[in-house]
Amino acid sequence: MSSRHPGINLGDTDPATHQVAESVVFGFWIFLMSDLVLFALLFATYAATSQHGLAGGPTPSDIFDLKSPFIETMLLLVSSFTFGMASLALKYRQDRGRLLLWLLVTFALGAGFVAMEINDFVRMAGDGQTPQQSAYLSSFFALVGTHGLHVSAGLIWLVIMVIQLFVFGLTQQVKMRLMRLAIFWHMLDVVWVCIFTFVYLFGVSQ
Amino acid sequence: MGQTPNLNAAFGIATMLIGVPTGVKVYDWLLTMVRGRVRLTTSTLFSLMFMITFVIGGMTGVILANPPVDFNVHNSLFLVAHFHNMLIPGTLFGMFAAYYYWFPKVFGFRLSERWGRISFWCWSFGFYLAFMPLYALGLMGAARRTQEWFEPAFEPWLIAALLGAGLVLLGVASMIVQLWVSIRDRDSTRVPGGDPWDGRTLEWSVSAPPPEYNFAVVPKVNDRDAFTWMKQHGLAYQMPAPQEYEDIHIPKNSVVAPIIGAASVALGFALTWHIWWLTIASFVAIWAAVIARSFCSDTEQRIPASQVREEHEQWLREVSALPKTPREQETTAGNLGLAEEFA
Amino acid sequence: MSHQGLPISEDETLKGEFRDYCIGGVLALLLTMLAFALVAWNIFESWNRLISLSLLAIIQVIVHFRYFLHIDLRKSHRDELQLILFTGLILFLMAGGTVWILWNLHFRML
Repeated sequence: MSSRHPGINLGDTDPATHQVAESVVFGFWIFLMSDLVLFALLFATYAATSQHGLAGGPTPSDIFDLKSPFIETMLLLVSSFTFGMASLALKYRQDRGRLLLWLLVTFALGAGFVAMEINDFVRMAGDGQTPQQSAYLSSFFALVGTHGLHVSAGLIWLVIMVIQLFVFGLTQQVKMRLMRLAIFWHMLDVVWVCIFTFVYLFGVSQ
Repeated sequence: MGQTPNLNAAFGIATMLIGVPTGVKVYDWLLTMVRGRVRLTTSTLFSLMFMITFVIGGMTGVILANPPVDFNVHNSLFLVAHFHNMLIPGTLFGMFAAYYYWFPKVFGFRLSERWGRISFWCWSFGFYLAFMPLYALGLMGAARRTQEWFEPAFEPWLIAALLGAGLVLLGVASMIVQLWVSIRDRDSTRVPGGDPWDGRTLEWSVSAPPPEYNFAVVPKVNDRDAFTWMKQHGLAYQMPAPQEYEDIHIPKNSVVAPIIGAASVALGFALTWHIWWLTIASFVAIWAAVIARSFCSDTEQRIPASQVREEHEQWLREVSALPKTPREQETTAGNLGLAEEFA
Repeated sequence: MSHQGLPISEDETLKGEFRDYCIGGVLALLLTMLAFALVAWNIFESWNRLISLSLLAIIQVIVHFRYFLHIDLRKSHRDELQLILFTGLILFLMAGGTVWILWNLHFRML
């Protein structure tokens, strides 16, 4: 009985790919764990500076509202769900149509998220709340910015995968890349759960 | 370093614990030499110096693990002396030993043993002269990262350290000279047999330089020191039967990896000095290379069994014509890479 | 490729897996809304609120891992689970240790 790995498992519909994918996906999983450590330290720095790194500048409650993070959370959460739908299409359907559709929907949602976040950053900078103003703001932009950069990288990866679907079709190589992208995307939503809780909700509460 | 007692206790204990497995390792290394016949080639000299000097550095590390002591010498030259005491003998001498040991395997000719010894003595004396005074200076209160010195009591120690640094510079220069001389004289130091040191492990059983695919036929391993076992049982350099050769699939050579490496160097440099155009350019170059590579599906090459057989048999014929070199003469010009059986 | 062999478990059908994603999505949605509601409607104060928010976050992370990433307690997943727990330990040590030291320094230098 073959073992399963995180994310979608192709054991039933494509055993050959499943065999090759096991170690490949596990390796990617280990990389994601190291990425989590990166985020953890950004969180720790944020936690410290949000208490004592304000430098007389704005406090968390000064700069955060609830509307923007809520919409961003919805966008990312739904995009995780739609990527799940894409994974199912990858596993169970022979044609590429459905898979493409769900990937494009995910892209739209993710792009919406990034656009909103850039808008937020620009608005903050316009109000004089720049990374240079205080250690707290530096760590805020570092933490949320790093997450945003990760999502943007995921979006580029999505585009490349759509192109490769057309160029190569649904080959083993393309399937494994999509599987890893799926795990990456879900991980980013996990990190975002921590961000909206510990940055935005905590911030508004203080 | 100035935190509360609880924190200091936690870190002090954690730091001291490092010494325990390290001590085990040192005894391991010593025991690999007990009842052996240790030949003092450049590689071994660096290994021995590593063991001695690394232990000294480790001991000063345990001194530093003590919170009240550390409170006084943290970020002083005592700390600097300690970590250089670990890194230079530890990492660097280890790397040098490996460099001298495997160079003939990788490039097919030996390095000049004479210049190797010169570099070893320069590095060793240089290291001690450069860094031992720093322990004294640290205890006298000298801080690290200092641009200018005003304390007359420091001066003799600093001068000694400067002389040591000069010796290290000579050591570096010797290594460069050694490389130049060795390349110049490479025709007289070639080791086509592939086994200049009477090696025990499998990498020494192939030619020097090794073929692209390393092994013509997958070797059968019977012992931890596989090649020595083969030599002792008369199975070294055996010509395989024709049907044992198979097609070998290995990745194709690609320029993508060096491009990504070079672009990464540029990226690091640009980020350090805030050269924004170079930052963007190198970042884009890295990812363009990665993405371009991902569109390449033709990444493997197949080396036919016939070609493998031809190359391997050709090399085995060469080896059978080589003279056997006993261990005592391994650093002389007569060493062509075939070792005499060691009784 | 045609369907080969028996399903590995009853969840390995299109319907079963689709259900997993739906359950995960709905749970995550509820937990998110609950968290935002706690803040928007001023339920609980200070420490209690922060603790409940943290709990909601941890539960939602577990929901994500279970339903979106298919990590559960079954034997074939042990390696991944072990890796996650080990990473969790590292996160706790590094993030927790950082906060401990910084707080400690702040306390001593006040």
